[in-house]
Amino acid sequence: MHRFIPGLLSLLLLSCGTDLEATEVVLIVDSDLQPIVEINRIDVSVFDASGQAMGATASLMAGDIALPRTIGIVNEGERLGPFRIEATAFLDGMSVLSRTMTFDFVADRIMQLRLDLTRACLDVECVAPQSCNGRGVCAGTDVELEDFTGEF
Amino acid sequence: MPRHPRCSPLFLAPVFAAFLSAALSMANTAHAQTESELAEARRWFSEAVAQAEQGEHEAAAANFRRVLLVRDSAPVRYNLALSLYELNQLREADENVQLLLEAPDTPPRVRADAADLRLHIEEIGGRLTLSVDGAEAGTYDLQLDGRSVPSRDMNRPLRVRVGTHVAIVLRGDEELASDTVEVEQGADASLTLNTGVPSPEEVAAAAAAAAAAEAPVEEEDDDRSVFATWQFWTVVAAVAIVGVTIGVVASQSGDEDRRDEIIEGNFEPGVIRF
Repeated sequence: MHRFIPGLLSLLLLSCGTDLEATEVVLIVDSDLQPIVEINRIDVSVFDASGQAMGATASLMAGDIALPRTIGIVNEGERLGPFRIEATAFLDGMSVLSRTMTFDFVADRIMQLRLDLTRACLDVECVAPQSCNGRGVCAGTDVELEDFTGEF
Repeated sequence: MPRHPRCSPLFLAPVFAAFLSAALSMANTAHAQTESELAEARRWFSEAVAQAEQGEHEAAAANFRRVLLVRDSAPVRYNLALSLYELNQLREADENVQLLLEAPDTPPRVRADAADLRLHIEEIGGRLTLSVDGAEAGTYDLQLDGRSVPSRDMNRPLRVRVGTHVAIVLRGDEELASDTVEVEQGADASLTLNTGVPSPEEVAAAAAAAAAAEAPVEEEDDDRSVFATWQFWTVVAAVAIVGVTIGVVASQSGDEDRRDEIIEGNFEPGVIRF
């Protein structure tokens, strides 16, 4: 399921060698659930510290781009965090599973964050501020960002 | 009316719902909609889909238009095009299809459906090229079957339903010209309306030109040579100032440009900004 995306790498190479990058997190959303059959849409909502929300969606129907899917989250404001991501997988409009992560941007750096909507989190109910950690266990949502590599 | 299975509003309804759920939840958009506006748009959208399913395409189209005013998104525009197609308003349907096909961010699936819809528009309609002679562009309103035709749509083939069409050129309440044209299925037709009536601006421009032509030649030569020199150097100075300003701004914004090199993903949208 993991694969190299040349287009993104070329963008990464373009950004190499510059002193200032965008303050951005590339969110990589993946799942071990079978697209089309078990999930056919993923919604991502991102909330800043003030609670302002932005959303994006990825269709996983026949003919759509396969997993993993990616989204660039750019911070053009002053506050680096905390930002909260809520990702939910759907099948025909019915929520299948959700995960939440919280992170801080790194100023003038492009970082990446991986969010796996795993089968282990099916039927795992967690109470906020905890969320399923991908291994089927309720845990805190703070995560560390990784340097953006362009390889997913 | 021939109907393609993929053209059913039901087909795209889940996609619209998914898209709208995300798109309408974006509080920080170019239009900065309020929560109440977004809630209203969701309600209009749901109503429109239900109306389209019931065959109430006039009402559905009106509601899809209202949603577009709050948030212009490809799936909603496609739905509007589909409703207009069902209403036999092929020109307006095709305008929306064209916008979808031209927009670089139209999702592939919606783009494919839009292309499909265009084929069906072409199947059931013909093409009509409208032009106006005798009046300057921008001084009149050209209407086809009671709907205004933008100037960009003149002198090029428009996809229209088969049958008789009425074109009228208006200036205010005054009808300058009108005519009818018959369009056959799959055929090209054209109609040129000759107004023969100059606008007040055209009359004024003609009068000014005539007055200038009657002015003494000697005075023109003396005055204009001085004036032309002054104008020339003013333009030179202005160009130099603008050039220097652009250079300074460009040199200072180099760092900002580097910040623009962002990574886009393949969600819809691919980038969200705070």
